[in-house]
Amino acid sequence: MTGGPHRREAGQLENAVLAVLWEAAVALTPTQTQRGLHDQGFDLAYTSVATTLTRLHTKGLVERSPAGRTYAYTPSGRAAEEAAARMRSLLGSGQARAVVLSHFVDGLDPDDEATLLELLSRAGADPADLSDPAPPGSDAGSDTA
Amino acid sequence: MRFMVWLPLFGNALVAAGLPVLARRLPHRRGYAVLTAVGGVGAACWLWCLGLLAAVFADRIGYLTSRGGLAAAPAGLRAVPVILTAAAAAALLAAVVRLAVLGARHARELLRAERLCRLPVAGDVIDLPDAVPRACAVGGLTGGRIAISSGLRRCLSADEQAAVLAHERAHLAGGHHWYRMAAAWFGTVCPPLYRLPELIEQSCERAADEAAAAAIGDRRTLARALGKVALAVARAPRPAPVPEGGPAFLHGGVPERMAALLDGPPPPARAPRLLAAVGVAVVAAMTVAAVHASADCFALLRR
Repeated sequence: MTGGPHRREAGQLENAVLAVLWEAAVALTPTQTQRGLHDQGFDLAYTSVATTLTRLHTKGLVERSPAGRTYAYTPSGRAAEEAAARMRSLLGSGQARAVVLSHFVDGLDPDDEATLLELLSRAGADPADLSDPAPPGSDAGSDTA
Repeated sequence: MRFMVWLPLFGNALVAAGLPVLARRLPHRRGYAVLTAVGGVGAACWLWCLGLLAAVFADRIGYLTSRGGLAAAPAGLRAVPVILTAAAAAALLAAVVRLAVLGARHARELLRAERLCRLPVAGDVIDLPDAVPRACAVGGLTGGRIAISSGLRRCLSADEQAAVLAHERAHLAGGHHWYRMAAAWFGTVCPPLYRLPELIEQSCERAADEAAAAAIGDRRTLARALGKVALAVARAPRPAPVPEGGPAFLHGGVPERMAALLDGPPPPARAPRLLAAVGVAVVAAMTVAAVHASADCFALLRR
């Protein structure tokens, strides 16, 4: 990531525009985006909004489709992909576990598996769900258990 | 000075022994905060007393150049064997270095988490395309995000996924990563408290479990989600890489958490009076001893 002051300002604007697009259930024209930004406290000229949208499109962060004389924009999956990539690097970073992460489940002592199965049946889990150790998509013929 | 300065140091051994008991008996809702506070007092007393001893050491070293050598130091300074003060100074130096290294690492992690939290992604949930079933909360400076892998979504039903989300949101709402960070510092500074981070983590998990169960109004669903994920992780063909040095993998704790959820809501727990009294007494004694020792020490050094 490079980041000068200019880039950071542009980044903030892009984030705000993306946030408006994410909130909307439908594709937004620049005018609608401008209105959405106004509701969030960003008073921007139409041209700034249109420029930002074009820039986001160039980056692949939004997709656009023709709508009358302009375009309507929807967020692409790219931002989500970037979030996933950053998350993955946090998960795999360094030797020790990152202190900012709280894992739902940290792992299981192998001796605990029987206890766990018993607790699961108490919790009302469907036994059919639990009997198959092979995850979906794996080769059923290689079952050595 | 001769005895008082050692009291807080030995007191920490007592605190370390008492913490697991305290962790088991404290109400789950704020147990981790109390544990962190006790650990904080313990670590502060530890550092402070090491500092006092180091100051005495430095003062005593000053007499090396005098005519009588070290023996010329006033009786007050000689009350503590020089070798012990030297050891304390070394321990203090080591603690400060370790703390600085850890602090730098935490700062880096926090910044990365914060950048992640500021990404313009809808909602607070990030979907990870990852076959390993996992979910975790990422606490940044100003907010948090939750990551859920596709593997986890595949092995849980919709309401079980909701329970997992509620659990992770409870972590973020409680700011649990701050407590875990503080616990890591205290454990680093004060070797007797090395188990504190692990205890705080367990306590936070229990607190998040209870908060989530209350939020979705169903304890069994969360228990089921916990069990299924743990089982899926254990049976994954390629287990998730376990980072070195993480104590968390050893304790697991999933069966205990499930059992606690299945055994119904805990009674509106109040810390037992005796335990509370002992805890307060130990912490107070350590603090008083530290203050007493510092008064002695300052009087000694001022001469």
